[in-house]
Amino acid sequence: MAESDILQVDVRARVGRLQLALSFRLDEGFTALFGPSGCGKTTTLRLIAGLLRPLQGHIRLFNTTLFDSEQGICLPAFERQTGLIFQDGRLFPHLSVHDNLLFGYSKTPAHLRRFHPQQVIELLRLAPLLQRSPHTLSGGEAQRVAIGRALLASPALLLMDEPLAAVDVPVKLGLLAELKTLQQELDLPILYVSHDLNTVLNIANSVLLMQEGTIKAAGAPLEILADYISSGLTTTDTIRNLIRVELTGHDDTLGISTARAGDTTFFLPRLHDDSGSTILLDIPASEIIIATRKPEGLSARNILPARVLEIRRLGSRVVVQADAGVVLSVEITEGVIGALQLQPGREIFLVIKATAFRRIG
Amino acid sequence: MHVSITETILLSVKVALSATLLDLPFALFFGWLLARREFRGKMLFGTLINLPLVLPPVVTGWFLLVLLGRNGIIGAWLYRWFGFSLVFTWQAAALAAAVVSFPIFVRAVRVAIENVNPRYEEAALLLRTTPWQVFWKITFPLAANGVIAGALLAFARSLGEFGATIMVAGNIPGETRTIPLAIFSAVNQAGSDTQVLLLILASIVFAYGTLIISELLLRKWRQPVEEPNG
Repeated sequence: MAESDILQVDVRARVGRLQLALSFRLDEGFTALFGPSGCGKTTTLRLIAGLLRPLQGHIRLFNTTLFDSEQGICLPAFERQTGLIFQDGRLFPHLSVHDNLLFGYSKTPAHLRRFHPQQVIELLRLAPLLQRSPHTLSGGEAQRVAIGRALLASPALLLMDEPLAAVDVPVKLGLLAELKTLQQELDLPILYVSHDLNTVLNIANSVLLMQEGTIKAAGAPLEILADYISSGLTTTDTIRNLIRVELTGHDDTLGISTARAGDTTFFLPRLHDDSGSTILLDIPASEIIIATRKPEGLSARNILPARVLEIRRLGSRVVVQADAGVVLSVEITEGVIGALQLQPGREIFLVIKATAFRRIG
Repeated sequence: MHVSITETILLSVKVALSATLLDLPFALFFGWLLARREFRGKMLFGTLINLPLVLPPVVTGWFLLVLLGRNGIIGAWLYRWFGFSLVFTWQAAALAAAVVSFPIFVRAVRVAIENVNPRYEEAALLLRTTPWQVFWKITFPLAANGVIAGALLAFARSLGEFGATIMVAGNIPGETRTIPLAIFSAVNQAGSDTQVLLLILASIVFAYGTLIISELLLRKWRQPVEEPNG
């Protein structure tokens, strides 16, 4: 087994009328398991977590064999070190948020604990919820607690089964961005089930495309999904950029606030948060303009020098990824590529109106 | 030998309480088994457990007597190795009450556990919790009201037990003469009307009290803390 493989799955399984023949590897980072409803995504997670038993094959997580039909190994779910976040949260109704959070932590041997309550409560901003009862939480809050609870059992792999399907879109975008930050900060591999293209494009660094019980393709999201979309499915989903920025100042006479992400400065409509606070911005890829020379006499406040990284086609849609200090996706039409002679490496300017930013967290 | 009403009531409570406590671990295990596990012959097994519910208690008592009597399969063995005989002791009365009230208890536990959403158990399993811990930390607390209600019903049924008790424990004043047996004995005696009425009153108070408490528990448990959100 290669060192870099986090998870190795080669199994056949059967649930009702659904036959699964799964063969895939998982790399580190955030992997989306994407496919239409009923193709076996949830079943795949349950096989890995040990809630279902495959007919034959093997599953390995890092150096541990979770299942091997030839060697007769089948670790029970509670020994697998896989966390699973369900669509419906499943917080224990008879316990407070605090006791829910510590449920798995208290059963994790001290030397296996990777994350600690203070850290997780801070990361997920759970402090105000600790004494609450689960049924008083909103959908988004409940899922934050469920994520915290899973993290505190120190899993080696976090499985997520469309945990945000029932959450409102603005809250969902905020949580997704948070999740991605979390994944990077904690260095925890995540396998995230979704049938929502939007989610996948915005957050995953690789995608497993699933159809009718098998993994059809695996790779970078735009690569994999380009094929998927051009093979007949189109989408009207908005491709978004989520940027976490730090507020650096306000100018009341100009009516703007300034914010920073890395070395890049953004001009935003006047906000009332204190300088130094961190907020989350959403800018749809379709609202960014590309210019080949620095434009003048524009009302747009943000004119960012950038470099084209790659150009991807998603069915009839074209997405340019550009590095402006932060990587941004820009949606254009086919003709623009030729007219502006866009190609990887080309120096450009990205133009964004201050009012095009939406604050989501 | 004269035995006061208070002593009769205390004996009855001792017998019924022992019966309930004796039932408890078995009721939890078989209630859980019937609620959560599929196995061959499950229906037949469930019916067997329910049998004392419909069998005349005298018949149940006769079986116990056959098993536990000094010549019975278990009784002979007990006598040979431990030198004691269970029949015609208060412990035999408790055992008779335990057997007769067992089906009620198991049924209550089974329904209570079936009402616990197994998704919570699944979620707990994925938090490094062994099935044994899952039962005590998740299943049991969420089913607790139903279990307590079942225990109260079993207690009430044990207090009223007559047929099986008289077969296997006899009707010995101060030893195995519980409230129903005392009523039966007093009715056949001239001049004990007051005693009969007091014992009947005690029976009604106990029966009604336990039923009300168990009903309150079940009501509280039907409208609870279910799904955290939609």
